[in-house]
Amino acid sequence: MNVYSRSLSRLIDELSRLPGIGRKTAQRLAFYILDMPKGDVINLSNAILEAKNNLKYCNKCYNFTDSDLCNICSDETRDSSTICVVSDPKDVVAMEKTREYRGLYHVLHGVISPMDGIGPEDIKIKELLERINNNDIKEIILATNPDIEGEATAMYIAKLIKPFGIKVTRIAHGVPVGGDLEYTDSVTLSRALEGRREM
Amino acid sequence: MYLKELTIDNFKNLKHQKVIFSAGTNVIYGTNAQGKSNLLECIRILSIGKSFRNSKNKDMVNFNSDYYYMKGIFNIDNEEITIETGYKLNQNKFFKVNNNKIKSISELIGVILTTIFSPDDLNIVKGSPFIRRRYMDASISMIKRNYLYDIIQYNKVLANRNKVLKDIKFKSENLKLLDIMDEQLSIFGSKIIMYRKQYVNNLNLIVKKILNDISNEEVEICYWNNVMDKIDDIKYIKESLSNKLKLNRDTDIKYGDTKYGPHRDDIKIYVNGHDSRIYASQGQQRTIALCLKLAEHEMMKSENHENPILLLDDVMSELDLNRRRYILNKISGCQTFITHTEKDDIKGDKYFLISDGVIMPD
Repeated sequence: MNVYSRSLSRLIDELSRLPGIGRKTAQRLAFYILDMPKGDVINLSNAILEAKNNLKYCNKCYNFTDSDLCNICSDETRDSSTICVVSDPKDVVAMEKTREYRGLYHVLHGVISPMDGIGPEDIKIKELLERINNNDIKEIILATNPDIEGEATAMYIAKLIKPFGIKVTRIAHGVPVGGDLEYTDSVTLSRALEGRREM
Repeated sequence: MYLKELTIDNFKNLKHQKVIFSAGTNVIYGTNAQGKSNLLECIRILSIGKSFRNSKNKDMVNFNSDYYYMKGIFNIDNEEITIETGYKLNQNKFFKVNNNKIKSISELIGVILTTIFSPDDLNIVKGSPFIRRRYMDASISMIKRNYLYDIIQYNKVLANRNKVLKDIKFKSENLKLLDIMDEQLSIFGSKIIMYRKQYVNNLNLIVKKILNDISNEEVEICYWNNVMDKIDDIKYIKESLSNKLKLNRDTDIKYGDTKYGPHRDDIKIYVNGHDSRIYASQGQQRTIALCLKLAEHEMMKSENHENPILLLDDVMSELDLNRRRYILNKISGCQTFITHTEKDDIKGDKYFLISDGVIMPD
């Protein structure tokens, strides 16, 4: 016997399909939504629909945006000769939080991973090359994750860009700032040792 | 380091019980099929996360139950470390170190050091290169913590490269991708070759010394790989592997498989100048296997400045009295677990009779 009414169990089903949300959390969210004032619920569902309807890829960097160009690409104070290549829109947010980086981005929407059937043509590499071709770019910063797939993607892009004569850099990896050396795992520590610099 | 107390619940035929061990030699005796080896298997799992018999998790659960659990309280330099593991059918196995759940098995490896001697060791000498590579990997990762990471990365890249090789007939742009895979493979491959070379060099010296004490045979252990004969500089190994991959690319594409690299490594063992895999007698092979294990134990001891726990599973019965005495002498100072059918044969500090899955101290 189903303890929930049909519409309630449908709501729970839909919510539990979201990442990071299990059956229990979905149930909690569903009951919370039912307790909310009707106006708030309409706002929430409209926000979801609106985001889905209006958001598209930025013509330039392929980040999510609701106009043709995203806020970052259309900001004229930013340095348009530097592009930071990341694998996910989430990474743009992380980089922006630094408030250090003033250049533009390029979102690949994935990394090269032959085992998962994702090749170079499945992510936005072709688009990156077009951008480099059509604009005056001085530096490309490769900020994919430091795992096997992220590293392979970075190396692949670096190889493609070399003939253009543009400076290609890779973000450093090592000991986290503010972290304790003694709590850093040995693999990270030996990578940090490899990448040490003279003072 | 030593194991002070072990709690077992439903692991194979060992039902719920708690045992307190001696820091010296523990002799576990009993007739066949009572659970002697299962006890050693428990201790080994708490040390490296998996069984030395390569059993599957679901096969390790008691027939009348749907889970197993065990907890070991170890003493390292007078500090207590608790390691727990458990598995419930159709769920993930978990590990806890001092009550904290760990995310990956590599956090567990190297905390508790164990060396296991079992009749299967004979396969290191007799079996396929795969078994010798596994032996190398297990021993080196106990000593060098980054080695395990490099091996895992290497295997991932290798899988990726082989997939790219297979797909190349349909995707011509994969050729460029292959360059990247070659580069990554040679980065991790050269590290692995370097680690293994150093390990086998040390192994050779120690085995020679040990064998000298118990027999008059000449033994030579060599690291064999298809990348480079002379190994000294990691830079050259990387170059050499990278070149080999490039030169052999067409054949690799044809077979959809990578021919060169440390995944084809082997250890060659020569007795009196002949390949021991083919020409050595069963007795010689057994002696060498034992020496390899003793050497592994010595290296672990000196690299970690810590005495590993020794697990001797039914190896005493295969040795003559002289060698038995030699080994017991060689391993003194470490906590030892010996399984045997008779009690009287072996001198120990504490004796346990095991009968139908119940462990009883004498």
